[in-house]
Formats: sequence, structure tokens, C-alpha cells
Amino acid sequence: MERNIMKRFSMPILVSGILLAASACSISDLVNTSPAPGTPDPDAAKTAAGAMDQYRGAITEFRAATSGYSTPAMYIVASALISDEMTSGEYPKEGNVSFSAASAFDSRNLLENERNGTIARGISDPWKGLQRTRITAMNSIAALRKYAPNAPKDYIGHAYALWGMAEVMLANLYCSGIPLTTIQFEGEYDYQPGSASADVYKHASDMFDSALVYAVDSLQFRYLAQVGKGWAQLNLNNYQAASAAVAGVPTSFVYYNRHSAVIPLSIGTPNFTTVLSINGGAVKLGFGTVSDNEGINGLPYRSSNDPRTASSLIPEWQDPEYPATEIWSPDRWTQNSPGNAPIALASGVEARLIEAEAQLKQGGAAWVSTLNDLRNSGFVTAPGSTDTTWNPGTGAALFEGNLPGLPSLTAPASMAEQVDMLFAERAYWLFLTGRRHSDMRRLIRQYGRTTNQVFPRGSYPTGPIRVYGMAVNASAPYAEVQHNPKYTGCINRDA
Amino acid sequence: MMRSFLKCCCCILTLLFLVQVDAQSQSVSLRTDEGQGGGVFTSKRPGKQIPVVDMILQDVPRDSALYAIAKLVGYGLVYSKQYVKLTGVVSARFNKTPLPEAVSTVLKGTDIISNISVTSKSILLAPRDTTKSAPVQAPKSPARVKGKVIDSITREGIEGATIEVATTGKQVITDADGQFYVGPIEAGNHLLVARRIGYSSKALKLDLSEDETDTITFVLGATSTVLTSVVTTGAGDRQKYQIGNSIATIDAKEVVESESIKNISDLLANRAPGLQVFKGSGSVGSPSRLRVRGISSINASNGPIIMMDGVRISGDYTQCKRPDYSGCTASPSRLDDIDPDIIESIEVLKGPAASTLFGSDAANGVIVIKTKRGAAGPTRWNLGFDQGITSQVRDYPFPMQRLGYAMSGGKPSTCGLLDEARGSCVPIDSTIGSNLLGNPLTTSLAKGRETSVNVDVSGGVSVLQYFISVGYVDQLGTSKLPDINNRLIRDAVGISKLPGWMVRPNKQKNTSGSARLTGQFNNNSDFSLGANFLKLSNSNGPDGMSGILMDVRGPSDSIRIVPGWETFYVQRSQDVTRALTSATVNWRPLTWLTGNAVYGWDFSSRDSRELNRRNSCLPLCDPSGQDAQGYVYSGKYSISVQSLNLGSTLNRPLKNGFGIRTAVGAQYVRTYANDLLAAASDLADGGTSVAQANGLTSSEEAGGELITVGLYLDQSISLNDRLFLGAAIRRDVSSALGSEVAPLYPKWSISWVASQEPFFPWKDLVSLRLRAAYGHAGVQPDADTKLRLLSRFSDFIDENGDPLGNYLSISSIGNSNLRPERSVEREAGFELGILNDRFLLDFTVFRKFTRDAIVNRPLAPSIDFGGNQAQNIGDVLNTGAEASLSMRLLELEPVTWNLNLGYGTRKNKLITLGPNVSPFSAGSGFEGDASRVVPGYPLFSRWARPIIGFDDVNGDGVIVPDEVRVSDSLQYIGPSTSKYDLSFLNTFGFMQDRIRITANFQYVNGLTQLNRFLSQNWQYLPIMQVPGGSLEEQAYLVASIKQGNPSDYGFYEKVDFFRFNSLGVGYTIPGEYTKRLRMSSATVSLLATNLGIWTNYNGRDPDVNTASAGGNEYFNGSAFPQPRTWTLRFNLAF
Repeated sequence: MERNIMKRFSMPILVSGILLAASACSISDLVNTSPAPGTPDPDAAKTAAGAMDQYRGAITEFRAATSGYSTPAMYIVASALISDEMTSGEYPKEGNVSFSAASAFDSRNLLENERNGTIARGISDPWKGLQRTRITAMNSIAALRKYAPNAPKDYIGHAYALWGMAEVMLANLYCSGIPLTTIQFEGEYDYQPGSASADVYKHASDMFDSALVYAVDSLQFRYLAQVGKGWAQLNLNNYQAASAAVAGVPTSFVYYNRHSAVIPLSIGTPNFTTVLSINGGAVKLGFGTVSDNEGINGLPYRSSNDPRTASSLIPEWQDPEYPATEIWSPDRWTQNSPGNAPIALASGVEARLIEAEAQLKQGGAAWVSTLNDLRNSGFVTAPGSTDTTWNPGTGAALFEGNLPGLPSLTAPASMAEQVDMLFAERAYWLFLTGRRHSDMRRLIRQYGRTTNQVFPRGSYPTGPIRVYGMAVNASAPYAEVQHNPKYTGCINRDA
Repeated sequence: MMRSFLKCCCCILTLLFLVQVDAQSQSVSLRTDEGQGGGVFTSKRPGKQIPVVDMILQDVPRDSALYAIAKLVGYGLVYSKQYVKLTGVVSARFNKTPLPEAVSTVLKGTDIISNISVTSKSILLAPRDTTKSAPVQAPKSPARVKGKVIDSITREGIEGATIEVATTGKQVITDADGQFYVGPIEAGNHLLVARRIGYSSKALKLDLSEDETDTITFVLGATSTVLTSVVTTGAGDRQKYQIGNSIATIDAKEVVESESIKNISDLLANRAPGLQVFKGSGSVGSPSRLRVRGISSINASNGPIIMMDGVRISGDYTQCKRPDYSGCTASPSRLDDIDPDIIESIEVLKGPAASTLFGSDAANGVIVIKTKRGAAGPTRWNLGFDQGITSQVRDYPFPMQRLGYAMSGGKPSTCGLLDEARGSCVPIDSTIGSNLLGNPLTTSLAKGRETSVNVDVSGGVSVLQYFISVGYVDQLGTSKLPDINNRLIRDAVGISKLPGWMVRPNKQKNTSGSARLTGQFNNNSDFSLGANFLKLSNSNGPDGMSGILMDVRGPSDSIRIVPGWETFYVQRSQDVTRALTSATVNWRPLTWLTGNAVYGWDFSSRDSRELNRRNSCLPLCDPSGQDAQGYVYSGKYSISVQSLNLGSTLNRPLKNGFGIRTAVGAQYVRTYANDLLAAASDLADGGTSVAQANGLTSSEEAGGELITVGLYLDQSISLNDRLFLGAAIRRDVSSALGSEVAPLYPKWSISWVASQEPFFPWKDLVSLRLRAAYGHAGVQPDADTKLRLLSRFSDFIDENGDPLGNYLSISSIGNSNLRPERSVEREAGFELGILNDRFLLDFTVFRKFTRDAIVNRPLAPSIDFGGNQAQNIGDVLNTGAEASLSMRLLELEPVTWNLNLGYGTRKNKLITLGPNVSPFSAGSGFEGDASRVVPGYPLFSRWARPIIGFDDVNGDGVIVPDEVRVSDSLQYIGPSTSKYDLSFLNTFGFMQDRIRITANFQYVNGLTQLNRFLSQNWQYLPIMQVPGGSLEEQAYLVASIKQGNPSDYGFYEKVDFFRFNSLGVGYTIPGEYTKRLRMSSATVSLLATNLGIWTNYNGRDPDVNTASAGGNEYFNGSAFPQPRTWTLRFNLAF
């Protein structure tokens, strides 16, 4: 009897028990944990506010990658060192048997697969920063679309513009062969092989086009995208397309990187001018001094007494043992408010210069008129405060303070001299904005100059080699070759 | 979370209960069928045929005849030699003779009757008088028997003993407490036989009354320690002989009583082959790291997990943050929090083959701690008192400095050989030097002391027992502020006495209390409640030798501060409060079915502080410097480990000698850590906290929660209690991996007690067990490793340059595909006991292959967020052998001598590091060569650029760095851990063990050390000061400062050492004296540790290893060597 009862009921009870157990046992409930206080939040970007925070993260990454400080440099300073804008400022000490990273950039001794830790870091830091900008912008666009659909679309446009700017800068500073690696928002990363410089400029141009689709209301962001696209097209040898891209950008437009004088960015990169103003040692090793006719071919940034490249001798930074070594601090970003000086990353002045170059290519005298219009205008005024999207505040001029009007130029006879004049104007107007180095590469690539005609050369005062090297760009970081399985290094080291 | 788990577990248990009910119902039905049969000699169950016998016997011994018949028909022959005497010879011819008839023929003329069970295929023999009335009695009401089988020595229950009613063939097996229940059986006379492998069998005659239950106790004497010990597995306690893997057991109680044991690390060291204990320092409170069967993990933990009384506890040492003292050289190990006086035994489950059922955390082994518990009987008091002194006994080099004149200016200067060779000075024939550590005025070494008191009380009645213990330990380390510094500082400050923390910076006090209550709810259920509380205060200053050897001074030098003194005015303290609780309930609804639930909570809180008071260094430091302004680092860390284990075991015999054991269970473990760290500078006068500082330098908050849930099924089958086949499986889910990753860990094992087989020829002299096991287990990543983490910052700068709102930055890229590391282990071995285990050899070989090892793979700069990503890309192989040989060499009346030899060898190799992953460094040294991860070589092996030549180009008898040629590429030097080690544990007893002497030794071979002591002080060796020394030696030293290509090749040493680890001499005072004092026993002991070391190592202590790279870098840093201790101990029992 007992057996029969159990037999009758055991199976239904068993099945019920299994179902009961299965319904109650939600494994994901059991192992669901929340981050401890202070732990970075994996879901931080998954709200409307979080998406906005990630968008601001892209802006911050861009600031850090361009005008942030690193040892020795992020994009603007690295670009200035490898070009003729700055020299490392290191003393020509006997027994100085190794390059600092700043001197390696400055002397163009940038070898492929560089394993010297200091120099390798100098090469990879701007690379990392610009790549982080790309990827954070990419992720912030996805986050804004998914979690902040009601936010102004201009933010998406802004992020696209920063994405494009970062790619233009990567192609400018480094050899051909830039891996445009991706990380999907809430997804996996995907290493990419190196893309040729031209392909990177084209991709950047596409990003600027996307920016213009979204940045409808914010003129600030539209102008940034326009100037960026113009810059990309210029590098692609498409002068008329470049000119068309910047059409309508007012000369008074300036896009600034903002930094605080007292709060270093939490990701560890304060404005380089902060370091410049407070630490002479860092200047010598990390930033350098304003050049003057560097390496035979360099422009006379100091001796020309051009107000656009004005600099100041800082006696207290001179080493008593080497009084001949002078440290010249650029007035442009440090004159008024060291540390929180806004750093211009794009401007209407550049738009006019792009138009001038297109005019030069077309022939005629319009190009010099365009240049003279700029020179005669004295100083560039700030944009208006009509752009409420970006909260532009009062804005500021490309040059803080009054810039006296400059005398008009007369177009020289030969094309070569005309090109020299145009590029010198670009160099002076766009001093320390990361344009000069790419211009020097363009002179070789697009205007038939040789490296020896453009880049600093000859003897170099310090380091183990004591002569300038042959590099016209930075090599790919060795770590990228080591750790990116799809990447094999520079496609070529040509300009 | 816990509620969810309980809900889930309730459902699982419900399900389990239903299954049990179902099983029970079937059992009842079977019993009913058997009851209907009820025959004595035959079974009337349909389908069961009585076998027949065809055989001719001619003058065959009666017992052999019965064996032959049983073998012929495939039956077992069961009888007790004690009661059944099979003598004489028989002759018979059987031609298709039914088995009962054949057996009766053989037994004809004896007082023995047989009982043949077709069901169980057994022939049972019993004396005739015990059953004379049974066959002819009318059916009676059933009787019942219950009872217990206990060990004759330990008086503890014996699990797994078979109780057989010889007159009916009925069998039952004792439960975990040795209890059994038989019934119902017919009333009347019965013979009950208790058997358990490793014990002598015992039979009892009973006259059972109707409708009554008899209670009896079998007391069995052990014949083999190999076969009687009980060990812990993931599915509960098992007889050791039943499982196929090696488990080392340490009798903690005995070791603690006879040796100088200060913590669990001391208890474990050199007592379990395959287990290495790396001591971090000779300082008081220094941590130890445990490694079982080598190193498997590259970036995940290599430490075993710790189980105490069935619950998971925290065993990791704390992270290397500033308040925990830089380099982790002095951070107390959490494992060593536990008072060794409360421990009964420790078992070491060495690898996945043993630890599979512990799941995703157990690939590096499991340390199982069982604490003491009370026993029924009168109240027993134990009082222990230790008083000891400690000292540093290593010799130190005598530093010296040659004098001369500077080349420019002609001022007197130092002028070593390198200075002279560089032309910076002109030497004079004069050197100065002194060993500051050897001068009482300047030494920073002092005598330390240790005092400990322990009181425990235990007792109880049969249903409730208790054990309560209280302990106090006060230790003072061997570092001190040099007397000269003490005097000069007091003079400068104008005070008569410096604070104690400055004069003697290294000290620790532990206060602990433990209680355990065990008892029975009823015959079928019992419980155990445990609580441990600990309060620890640790102070740890400098090691006392920093920079001292570099300070060379002559007799005429003026008195001055000894270098390194500045670290003494920084006070470092750490307070730990810890509570461990556990509750266990065991339930035995049926004799063959048990269930248990264990809940545990281990909570510890640590308050760490590094404090440099404002102006405490004045007037001997720069008044404007940061030291004078003061600073404080404050860390608050807490960790909580909660665990809940639910399990059920079915254990019952089947027919024909087979038996099954099925265990199912669920385990829930939640670890939650919270870490708050703040640093502040510019302290106010008298300020000691962050709140009393003007500037908050940094603050950090971290932590993590990790939850793991596991389910397991463990199935084993036995045959004749001699052959055991086991298979098990565990499935885990955890928060670190996400619910979609649920690793499955299988295992199998085989154990065969060959010496118990009938054919084994020397069963009275030899015990032999062969075993093999295979199993998987894992190591999980940290709680957040899998996740992409975004850090939020609040200082986004707006267009005016002002902070405005937050921004997010990706701080870690995460890896959603991350899996646990998986170690697969095979092991095989045997235990061979000779002469009642007088000589006992335990031998095991193992092969542990770890795949999917977690490697923090560097990311390419094009996705550089956090620098690296954890990936499952490493394969690591560990192989080795372990052996222990226990010998009772002398067992004479006046003297006994037991010697235990332990041997462990291991070979470690990183097989692969995954495609496109370059070898990398895991620590310091030039290019991190002190500890590198390179495929084809041992993990964390030593590398350096070798010195390929040198020339004294200018013939000045001095090798300068430029004259040394150093290879451009790194060369493998050797492994960072030893190749093999030996331990020698001796125990001597004199005067009936009244005098007991223990002497333990250790030999370690094949260790490669980086001699940091030499690398920091080589400039002051005579060879660099006095002309005429070996050029080769100079080359090896000066290569370390070669410009652009330095090499520390010359500082590596291949090390062997032999250490006299400990000596204990104990004297038990005769009973006639102790009785007068109402004591049951009294022992006085003299104990010593580290009595000598014989080594080729030129550094301080080759067996002290500091670690900073995730605990996986092993080198001999600047920490103290292990000290020598002398301790006087009194143990009194009442």
C-alpha cells in the first residue's frame, strides 16, 4: 500500500519539484553584484546623463591628446619639436650619450621599432592620446544615439569632428600606416592593419562630413568640421575641395581647447603651458624653446620679431653652467594666463589660409590679397555669444591681447618664392597649433621640395649622434607592432 | 543575494528530499519483498536460482574447501575467524549438488552452520549455538539494533564500517559519526560482525527481544593508519583509503605542543611535501605565501583557498598599498591571524585532482583547517605559557673605504679602486671601515622577545560538548633605533626618552578567543557552532639595516647619526579586528542518508596608518622639507567572506560486495571587500589624522564583490570495501564571469587497497594501497576583470576654463570572453605500510597542466585603455613527485625514535604565452630580469644579460665598467623557486616518552636568488677598495653600473641550503608530582628555531622572499632574515 502510494505520487512530486527549483533558481540573480564604492562603473554611460559624460570624455581626451602635457609631449609639442617651431632646449653636455625623447623628436632621430623606453614612450604618447580620442568619440556617438536621443544632435556632430581631427593629426605626425582600430560601444575591439596616410585623411574627411550632417545648429561645431575637412583635403592635395570646405567660416572663428590653471585633468595631462610656466626643468626636457632658424632650414621665429611668434627669454631657466643656452618661452599660449590659456585648435584664420593656398594653386594674385587681408586686420575678434549649444562664453581671439596690424606682403615672382611666402604665413599665423609639421611634409609631398630643403638638418648639439636624422615623421610605436597582430609597422617613412 | 541563494537552495533541497523520498519508497518496497521470503537457507524470490556444485574434494582443508566452493559459484564467504574455527580436512564428491547441501557437507561434524543468501550471493558462517533456535521459531515481532562503532584509541566514531548480521546476511554501514541502525530483524540470537578496513573485525552475540531496540558499541582497534584516517573532500569527509588522490594531513595539535609554532605558516612549513611556504621576512608579523605544487597562474592568484571547519575564509595577504607598508614585506598575512593553538589538524589538498569539488577557486589547492572541539567528560583545563627571546644571527660583510686626496683641489676624499681608475683621486695607504651592525652603539639589531599565554577549557556531556580557548601573544621584533641615534636625537630634541614606537618599531600583539559548541539534537541530527575573535595590533618600522653597510667610518670619526635613522620617526601601525563564525547542522534521516548545512562568515577589518608627525624629525632634518611638515597615510580595509554549503550523501551497500556513495551539494561564497585610502600632508601640530592635515594629497576608494555558486555531484562505487571508483562533477557560476560562463569541472579517481585482497600474501605485515586521480579545477579572475569600466571625473573644464560637470574615461577595456583558468591534473601513487605501518611510504607523481591561464596582455597603443587586457592565453605545465617516509625506527622501552622524511620535487614550464604575446617582466631588476615570463622556461624565472668578457686594457689592475663586455640579450639563469626540497622531522622519546625531543631539518636545492644585499653594498667590499683582487670578480660587480648596458648578472646565485629548523625538548613531570597539584599533566619544554643554516648563499637568508608583483616575484630583498628563537614553555592540564 505504502509502495503504491509513493509510486503514484512520486513522479508528479518530482516533476513539480524540478519545475519549482528551476523557476526559483535564476542564476543571474544569484551572481548579480554591484560595484563597490569607488569602483569604476561599467554602466556609467548607459543613461542620458552618462552618454553626455562620455561625450565630454571625448572632448577631454582630445584636449589631453593635443594640448595636454606628457613627457615629453603630446601632439602640438611633438609636432613643434620635429618641425622647426621648437627645439628641445637640452644642454650640449659632454657624455650625454643618449637621447631624451624630446631631443629624439627634435633631431629627427626617430627609428622604427624604437625600444629605448624613454623615446618609445615619447613616440607612443601622442599616438595613444589621439587614438583614445577617436575611440571615445566613436563610443560617445553610440552612447548619445542610444541613451540620449533627445540631446542636441550637434553633440554627435562635435564628436564626429573630434574624431576626424584626431585622424588628421595621426596622419600628420606619424608615418604612413595608421591602424584605425575600433572598439564598439558595449562591444568588442577590433584591431586594424595600418592604413595609408591618404586613406586616413579620406576617412577623416568622411568623419567631418558626418559632423556637418549632425552639427546643424551649432556654428561652432560646423566651423570646426569645415576647417578640419579643409585641412584633410589640403593634405590630400585637393586644394579646391579644401577651399570649398571652409567657405563661410568667419575669420573670427576660433575653436579652443580649455584647461584649468589649477586642476590637472584627472586622466593626468594638464595643459602643457602649466608645466611650461612652473617648471623650467620640464621645459628643457619636455617642451623646448622657441626655435630660430633651426637646422639651417628653420624659419626665424624669434629673430623675425614677428608678433605672431613672439617669445620671451626666461633667464631663471638657464643653467648657470651653460649660460649660452637660452630658453625662450612662446608668448602665444603663456603670455596672459599660463596654465589655463585657451589653445586654438582650429580657426577662421586657417580657413582664409586654406583659401589662399587654393587661390595660389589657381594662379593670379588673389592669394596674396587674402593673406594681406589677414595681416591688415590687426587682431582677430572673438566669436559672438549666439551659440548656446556649446556655451561658448565670451570667447577669445586667436591671439590674446592686441596684435598690431602687419605690413602688406608683395607677391614674389617665382612660384617657389610664392609657396615659401604662403607657407611662412601659415607657419606664423598657425604657430604652435600643430600645423607646421604637416605643412613641411606637404612641401615635400605636394610641392616637390626635398627633405633637406625643408626640415632642419646638419649638426645637432646634444645626444649620441650629434647630427639631425632623416625622419620626416614619427615612426609607429613599437608596442603597436608588438601587440597589434594585424599591424606590421610603417608602410613607408616618406613625407 | 543571500536570500536568492537560500531560496534556490531550499528548492534544491526540496528536490533532493523528493528524490530521497522516492528512494526511500523503493527501499521500503524491497524490504517488504524480502520479509515475505524470510527463509534461512534459500531465497524464494522469483528468478533467483540456487547454484549447484560440481567438485571433487580429497583431503582438502575445510576452509580451503569452502573458499573453493564459494569461488566456484561466485559467492562471497563471510565469517569471523574469532568465532568460526575452520579446522580439519574434508573429502567429498559433488555432482550438481545444491550449494546449501554442498556447504553443509563440508561443515559436517563441526559446530558451524551456514546461511546462504542468494540475494547477496554470500555464504555466511556462524557458530551453531548462536542460531540454534532461529530456524524453527515461529515468526516473531521484529527487533532492532542501533549502536556505534568507535576507534579504540581516539574513541571517535568510525565512518563506513560495515555491520553485518551474520545470521541473516543483512548489512548496514555506519554514518559519519560511526552510528548505525539495523532493523527490523527477527528477535532471537544473532551474531553481529563489525568490519572496517584498517581495523580488526569484531563480533558480538546478541539475544534480541521482540519490539525492542538494543544499543551496542563496537570498539575497533586500528591495524593500519593508512587505512583508518579520515580526510576532507569537497563532498564531505571520506575515509582516506577510499579516494584516489593524495592528501597531506598535519596533526596540528601534536606539532603545536612539541615545537615553537607562532602561526599557521610555521605549522605548514616542511610538513606536507609539495607545499612551499615562502616567508616574507624575519620581522614580526611578516606575511607568508603558500604555493602548492608550483606556480600555475601568471596574473591570477597562485595561492590556495582556505577552508576552516567547512567554511571558506580569507587567506590572502593584503594588497601592496602604502599603509600596508611598501613592498608588502611586513603586512601580516590573513592566514596567520588564526591562533594555531585552536587547530586540531590541517589537510592539504594539493591540486585539481583533489580539489575539483571546490570549483573555480581551487586549482592551486585547498588548505583545510579543523579546529579543536570538546569531548564528553569532566571539564579539562589546559594552560600554556611561552616566554622566548629572538635574535638575528647572520654575519654581515665588513664594509670598508680607502682614503685619498681629490685630484682637483687636493682635499682628502674617499678613493676606492674605481675612483682611482677614473682619475678622480690619489689614494693613500689607509682604509677605514667598521661593521656598524657589530657595534653595540651603532647596531640596529636587538634582542626580540615573545610571550604567549593560552588557556583552553573543554568538556561536556554526551549530547553537548564545548571547547573554549583564549590566547594572547606579545612579540617584539629584532630591530631598534641604534643607541647612538637614540642619544643624539634625545640630545637634539631635549627630551629624556623617545617614544617606544621609535626605539623598537617592530612589534605585534594578538588577542584571540575561540569557542565551539557541539551537540546532538537527537539521535539523527547534531550541530556545531563556532566563533573566533581576533584583535591584532602590529607596528612595523624599517628593517633596521637600510643603508647601514654603506656608512663606513673610522675610529677617529666624530659621533654621528647612523644612516637610515630617518625612517624611524615614521610610525607605521596596523590594527586588525577579525571575527569568524560558523554553524553546522548534520541530519541523518536514514542510516544511509545524511544531509548537512554549513554557514560561515569571516569578517576582518584593518586600519592601517603611516604617520610622520609634524616636526618630529627636527632639528635633524630640513625644517622646510616635507618630512618636517608631516604627512599621514590612512587606509581602512574590510573584507567579508560569507559561505553557505548544503550537501547530502547517500551511502549504502549493494549486493555482491558492491557499495555506492552519492553526494550532491551546493555552495555559495560571497566575498566583499572595501578599501578606502587617503593621504594628507602638512599636518597640524599634534595632528595624527587626515582631518588634521592642511592638504589632502590623494584619496582612493576601491573594493569589489565576488559571488560564486557551485553545484556538485560526487558518485563512487566500491567493491568489497577495497576497490573504489569515483567520478564527480562540479558546475560553477560567478559574478566575475557572468551567468553565461558556467565552467564544468570533472574528476575521477580509483583507489585499490591491494593488501586487503584475499590473494595478497603478506596482509598481516604489509598494507598497500594504489591510487590514481584526475581532475579539473579553476582560478577565477578578479571581480571586475571582465567588465569594461568607466571612471567618472567631476572636473570637466568648460569654455571659461572652470570645472563644469562630469566626464567619463574608459579605465579598463574588459574582456567579455574571459573564462577561469583551468588546471587539469593527473596524479598517481601508492601508500606502502610495512610491519603495521612501522615503515610507511607515501609516494605520488603528478602532472598539472594549466590552460587558459589569465595573462594581462598588453594592448596595442591604438586601443590603450588601462594598458592591458586579461586574456586566457597561457599554458603552464607543472610536474613533480612527492614522497613521505614515516619510520618508527626505535620502539624500545627506554627510547623511541620516529623519523619522517619528506621530499618534494617540481618542474615548472610556461608552454606558451599565446600568439603575438611577447615575453614580459613581472618585477624589478634591470629590464625586469629578476622575474620574467618567457615561454619554454619556468614562470617568473631569473634572466640577465651575461658578461661575455672583460679586459684590463690599461693594465692598472682595476676593471672599470667600460672594460666589461655585456651581451645584448638576456640569458636564462634559473628558476626563482627551488627544484626540490627535503625535510627531516625527528621525534625521540625517552623514559616512556616522558622526555620528548623533536629536531627538524630542511634541505632546499636549486633555488636561484638575486642577491639584493650584494647589489646594494658591493662598492664597499674589500675587492673594490684594496688592490690585487680578482679581476673577474670586479668585472661581475662593476657590470652593474655599465653605462647604457648594465647587467646584474653577477648578483645572481644558485642556492642550496640546509637549515636546522627547530629543536624541542619537552619533559613531562611524573604523575605523582602533578597529582599533588591537582594537575592531570604538566610539561616543561625548551624550544628553539633556526639554529643554523649551511648555505652557499652570500646574501642574508635564501628562504626569505619578498614579493611585489602580484605575489609572484620571488627574491631576497632587504627584509630581515629569519631570526633564531629560544622559548621556554609550560603546559599544564587540569
